[in-house]
Amino acid sequence: MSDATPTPRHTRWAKIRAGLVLAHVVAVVILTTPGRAALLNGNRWKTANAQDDLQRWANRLRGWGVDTDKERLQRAVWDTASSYASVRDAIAEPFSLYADAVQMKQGWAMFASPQRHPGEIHVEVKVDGAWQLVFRPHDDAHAWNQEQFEHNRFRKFVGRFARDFRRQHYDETCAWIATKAAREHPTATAVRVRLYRYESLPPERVRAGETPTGRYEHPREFDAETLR
Amino acid sequence: MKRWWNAWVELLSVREPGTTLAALRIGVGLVLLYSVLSVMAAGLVEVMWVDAAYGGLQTLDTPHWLARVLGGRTPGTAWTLGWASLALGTMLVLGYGGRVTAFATLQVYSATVDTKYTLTGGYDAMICNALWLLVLAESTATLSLDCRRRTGAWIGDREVAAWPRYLFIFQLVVVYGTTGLHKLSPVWTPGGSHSALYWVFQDPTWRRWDMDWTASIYGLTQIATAVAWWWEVLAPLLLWVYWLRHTAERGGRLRAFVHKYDPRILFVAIGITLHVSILVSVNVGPFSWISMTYYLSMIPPDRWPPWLRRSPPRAPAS
Repeated sequence: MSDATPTPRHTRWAKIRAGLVLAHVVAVVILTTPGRAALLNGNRWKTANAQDDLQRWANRLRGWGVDTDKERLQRAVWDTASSYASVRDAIAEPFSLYADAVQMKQGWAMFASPQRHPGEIHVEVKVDGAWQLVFRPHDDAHAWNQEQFEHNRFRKFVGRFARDFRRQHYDETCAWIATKAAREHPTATAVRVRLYRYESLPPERVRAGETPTGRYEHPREFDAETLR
Repeated sequence: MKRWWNAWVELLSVREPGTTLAALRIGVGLVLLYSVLSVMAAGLVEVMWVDAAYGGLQTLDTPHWLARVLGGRTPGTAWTLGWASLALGTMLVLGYGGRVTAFATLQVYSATVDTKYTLTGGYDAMICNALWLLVLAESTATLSLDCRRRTGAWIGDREVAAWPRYLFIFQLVVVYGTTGLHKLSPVWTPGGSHSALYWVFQDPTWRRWDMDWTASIYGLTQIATAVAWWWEVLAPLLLWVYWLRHTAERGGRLRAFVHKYDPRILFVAIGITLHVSILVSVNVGPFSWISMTYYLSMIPPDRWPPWLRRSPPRAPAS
């Protein structure tokens, strides 16, 4: 046996396998980098949270002597992100084919910018001409359909209305909730679903006993009879 | 370069007892069962996994071939996929069918939950990624029905390729590393307010119950925020630690240090504390469970209790 003969561990298959595993590793690394959909979502850039982040970064950069403000910083970040996304998506494309084929998903932006302007779905039914609150989150006195609404998949879905509001998603959700509410409240004449938005309070105001106050957005009202 | 390549081939040629991969298989199967059962128990099958045209919450996508074959996002498809997920998840836990079961489970679970990007979670991605790694692994060599059928015992001594276990560790590190790098908000990053966790606790989407009391321990939440951010961002260094320990024979102060004060213990301690805290305080479904399941990959097969493993038979001394 000559010196050039591979050891049993370095057979042809061992080398092919090593190449395939390396390709998997490279695919995972490339696909974890944020892509166009994550970076250049216009809706998200407009949210109060994103605008607050930009303002804080602009303040911080000014503190470091950089001449900028929120608007200029936003333009600069958007332009940079656009250029980056073009290159990234081109590189990622062949690896995406592999990921799609094996149902592999790599996008890990969890709690990237915690929500400081949350939204809650509130549900009301009209009985004897008066609106009655039947559901709002974390309120045992108004806990209709709580088991479904408080499931983590439902919570996460509703939480998206605060950071990436999509009218179609919201309208379909309201219609589904209203239909269920109408059927389960036979004396109701109407159902109203609204998104309650508020600003979370900083710790000193919570310690002082304050509670957040907000406003209702996107009210949707339904005739209960037509939904039954 | 050739030296690196040979080292890589060598590393991927390592074989070891299959106990850790079996534990991963069982853990992933249990988390998958929890994920599907929780949706069924909450009465959400025909809400989350059925199209609005058939009474569901949203107009859904049907990207998965299996959902299309079954006729789209109808109640029949949702229940068929849901029950099939449970059956296959059970087979995965029991260790029946080897890679075929892992592959079928991946296809069915993916078809079940991948209904629309707004209705899936990071834990679904972690479950699917784990299932793909189980397709690549020999995860039923021990602690399985397959082993029982093959050898007459539940615990086997057949060695398996170790590299799928390494890929689990790699995936875990990637999840943390990139999660950390995504956290560019001034509420996370050094020099900012370190208020991120406090805000998470105030968000009705996530908090499990009233978390106003966290305002009275705000300083502690700031420390926890800083620890979590640095821990995530530095997570990729874990792979370096593994490499230093793998090449301990080369010597040097750094190798001696990581051998004496194993930084992996600190990594695991912070990680488990983080996930248990998440489990108690916020509702993110099976996320903590599937994350902690990945940690099993860091347990070398020879560290499991003796009653869970059997040493390979030694060749008779010549």
